Amino acid sequence: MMSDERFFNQVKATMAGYSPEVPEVVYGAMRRKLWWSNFTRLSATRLNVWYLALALGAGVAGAAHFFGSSAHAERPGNYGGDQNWAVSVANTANQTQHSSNEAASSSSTCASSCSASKSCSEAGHASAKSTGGSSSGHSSQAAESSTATETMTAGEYQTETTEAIAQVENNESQEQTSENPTVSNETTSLSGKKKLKVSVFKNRNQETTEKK
Amino acid sequence: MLMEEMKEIIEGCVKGQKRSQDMLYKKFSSLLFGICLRYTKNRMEAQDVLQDVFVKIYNNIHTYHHDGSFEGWLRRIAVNTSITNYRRNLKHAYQDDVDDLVRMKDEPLVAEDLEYTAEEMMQCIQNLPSGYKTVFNLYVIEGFMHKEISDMLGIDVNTSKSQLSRAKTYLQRELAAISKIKSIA
Repeated sequence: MMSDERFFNQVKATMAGYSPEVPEVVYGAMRRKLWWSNFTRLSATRLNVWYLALALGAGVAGAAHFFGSSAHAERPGNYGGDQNWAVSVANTANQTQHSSNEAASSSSTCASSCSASKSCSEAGHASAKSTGGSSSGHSSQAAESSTATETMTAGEYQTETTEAIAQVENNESQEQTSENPTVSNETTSLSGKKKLKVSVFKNRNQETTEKK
Repeated sequence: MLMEEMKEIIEGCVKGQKRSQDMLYKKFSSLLFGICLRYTKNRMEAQDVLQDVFVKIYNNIHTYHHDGSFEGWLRRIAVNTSITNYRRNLKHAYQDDVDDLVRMKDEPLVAEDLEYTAEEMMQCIQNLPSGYKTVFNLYVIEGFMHKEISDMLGIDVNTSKSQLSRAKTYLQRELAAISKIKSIA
């Protein structure tokens, strides 16, 4: 039996110059592995998976933002979620109403829309005040309101507009029976803020008419 | 190959030139494939390891500073990659070891001082259980000490020694079987 050292030397000597032929397929596979390795390596100087991931992430975020905002805009009757949407709807309604010859009815509807959206352009009020006008023509007022409702396609807003019209009609009926409309408005059982705003506009319209 | 030519190839590889990479592959692929074969079970596995070796070489060639043997640097990468591959397949290797230990008890020990070809020797080494094979290669052919081997493989020094001893016994049996077949033929 040969010694360990001798046996190890024999094995080492035999294996020293061993260099078998490498199959051709290894080279192609190695190049593919090298390409993938470079592609997944974090390097600022070359196009790699991290740049693509960034671009993809930005694209997805952009698409989500675009489709999310458009879907939100199409959602009916949402006042609380997107305040800007409500403001734009209110302004659209004001523009439709203010372009009409019926200034008084326009101003009252504007007031109701302002109370609904809690914001309105000052220009709308100014035009309503300057033109003034009587409180007659309820049918045209209803038509105006329906126009605004069509523009918005919002169910809740339609309800509010109808309610506002009912308030105005109620106020006017009280106005006819009472010399002091403000007091009568304050004593009515209809809910506070919107009604008060409407009555304030009524008083202003009356004052404008008296001045004229 | 001249030193200057080798330097050009290395610099080309550092710059990522495909031509230089191909020249390096042609020059050293056989040598490194031989190393990979010694640490793996079959040619397919060795080919996989060889691909990883060249990917590592191309990606890290900028760290070679011409302060030692380039061939030694390449061999070290091949050995390290083979050890990584061995660690990855460690679970399966344990099963092999148990099977082969049972086999070793049944066969008689025959040791003869005969000449063997590199192919025959390679066949016997490849048939060694993974643990024995790795320790045997690192100790006998690469020239590492048991302490270094134990650090590299994460095993005890005594485990390294016992595995080398068993590897030697196993290999001698395998070589004896080959010589038996030769003598009959």
